[in-house]
Amino acid sequence: MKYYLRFLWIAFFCGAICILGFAVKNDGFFASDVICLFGMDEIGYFTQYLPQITYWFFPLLFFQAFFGSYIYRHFCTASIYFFSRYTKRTRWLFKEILRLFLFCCLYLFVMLISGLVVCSLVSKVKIDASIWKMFCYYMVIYSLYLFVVTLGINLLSIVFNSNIGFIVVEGINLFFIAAFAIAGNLFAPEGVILEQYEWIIKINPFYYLIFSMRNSNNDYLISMLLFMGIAALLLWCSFFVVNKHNFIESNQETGGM
Amino acid sequence: MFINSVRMQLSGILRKKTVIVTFFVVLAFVMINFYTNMINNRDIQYISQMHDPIKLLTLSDWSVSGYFLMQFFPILVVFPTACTYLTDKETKVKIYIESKTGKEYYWYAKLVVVFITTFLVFTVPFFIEIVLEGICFDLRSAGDPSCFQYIQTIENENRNLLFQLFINHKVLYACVMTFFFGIVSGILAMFNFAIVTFSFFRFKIFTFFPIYVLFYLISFLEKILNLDYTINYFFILRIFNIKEKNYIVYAIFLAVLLIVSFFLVRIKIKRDDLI
Repeated sequence: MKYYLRFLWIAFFCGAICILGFAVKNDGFFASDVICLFGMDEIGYFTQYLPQITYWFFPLLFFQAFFGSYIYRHFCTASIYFFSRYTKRTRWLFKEILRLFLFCCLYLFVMLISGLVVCSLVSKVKIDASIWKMFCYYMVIYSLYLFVVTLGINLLSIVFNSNIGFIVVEGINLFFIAAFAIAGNLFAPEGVILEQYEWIIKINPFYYLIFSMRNSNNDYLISMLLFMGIAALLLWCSFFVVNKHNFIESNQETGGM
Repeated sequence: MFINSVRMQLSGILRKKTVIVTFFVVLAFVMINFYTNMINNRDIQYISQMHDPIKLLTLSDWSVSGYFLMQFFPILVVFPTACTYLTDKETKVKIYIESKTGKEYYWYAKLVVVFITTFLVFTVPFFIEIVLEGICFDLRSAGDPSCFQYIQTIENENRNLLFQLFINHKVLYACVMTFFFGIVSGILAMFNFAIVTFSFFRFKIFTFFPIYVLFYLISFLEKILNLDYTINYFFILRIFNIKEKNYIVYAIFLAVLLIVSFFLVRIKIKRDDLI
C-alpha cells in the first residue's frame, strides 16, 4: 500500500505539468474549464490533434503501468503460502479491486487539484456553478476508464504474464486512440464526419472519453454507462480468473528472484 | 572475448519470442500498406496517373498503416529487448556469460546486441517493402498523394533531410531514410535497456515505458518552449512530413541518449556483483 501511495506524487507532477502549457490566460479561468481541459476538451478527430491527445493521455498511461501489477503482484511470489491460508479468494479479490478503484479516484483527484493549484498560481481561477457537475462527470468517467484498463492489464497478467497483459491492453488502447485521431482525415472531408460513417467513431470507446464530443448530460450519462458496463464485465471475468488460477505455476514474473 | 560475448548473446536474443513477434508485427504493418497500395493502383491504367511508390511506403507520411505503426512505436521499439536483462537474471544466463567473458564485456556486448536486434527488426521489413514496391510498381511514376503539382510538392518537402537525394535517386533516398529509422530505433532501445537495469524496474511491466516517459517530457517541452520546429517523434520519423524540423538538434539529442546509455552501463558495471 505504502509503495503505491508514492505514485500519487506522479499524479501531482503530471497534473501540474499538463496544465502548465495552458495556465497563462489574461482573463482567468472558470474552474470547470480546467476540469474540461483534463477531460480532453480541446481534442478533435483529426491527426493534428494526436500530439495533444498523447500529451493528456500520458498521465493515464503512467497509472496503468504503475498499477498494472497491483493485483497481479500477489500472484508473483509466495502466492501459494498466502492463498492456502486465505481461502476466500473472491472476498480477497473484491477488496483488492475496491482498493484499485480508490487509487484510480485518488490519482485523478490529486491530478485535478494540482492542475487547479498551478492554474490559480499563474492566472485567476473563478469558481462557477458547473464545477461540481463537471467534477463528477470527470471523476466517474475517467476513474471507470482507468479502472477498466488497469484491471484488464492485471487480469491478462495473471492469465499469461505482465508482458502480454501490458502489451495487449495498451495495444488495444493505442489502436482506439489512433483510430479516433485519423477518423476525421478519412471520413470528414468538410470538417464534420459524414453521417454514414458516424458509427465508425461511435464504436470507439476512446470517443466516449473526449469531453468536446459530449454535448449534453445524456452524452455524459452514456459514457458513464458504457464504462460501467465494461467494468461489470471485467469484474465478472476477474472472479473466474482468480478462482480458477493454478498456483503451482504461479511465478511468471521473476522465477522466484 | 567481446566478439564472443556479442555472438553468444545475439544468437540467444534473435530466437526470443518477443523479437520474432515484433518483427512479424512490423512486417504485418508493412504488408497491410503494400496490399492497400496494390488495391488502390489495381484499376489505374497509365503510369502518369499513379502515385510515386516511394511516397506510398509505410514510413511515408501518406501511409495510414504507417500512421498506426507510429502510434505503437514507443511500445514496439522496446518490446524486443526491454526484458532481456530481467530474463538473463532470471535464467542465470547473465552469470554464465559474465563468467565466460567478463563483466565489462557482458554489459557492452549487451548494449551492442540490443542495438543490432532493434536495428534489424526496424529495417528489414521496410527494405522488403522497398524491393516489393520496386518490383510491383513503376518507379517512373511521380504523382503526389496530395494531388498538388510536382513542383509545388518539391518546394514543400525541400526542407526535409537529404531531399536532394530524393530528387536524384529516390530508391536510395528511401533506403537511407529506412537506415536512419533503424538507427534511431536502436538508440532508443539501447537507452531503454540502460535505464531498466536499475532496481526500480523490478516488474517487467515497468520496462516498457521509459521511452514513453521520454516522449512525454519531449511533448511537454514542445508545449512550453514554443519552438518554431517540431520535436514530436511522430512528425520527425515519418518521411515526407512537411513540418519544420531542426536536424542538428535531433542529432545532438540522439548523441546525448547514446552517451547517457554508456554512462549508465558504466555505473552498472561498477556496482554489479557477479554473485
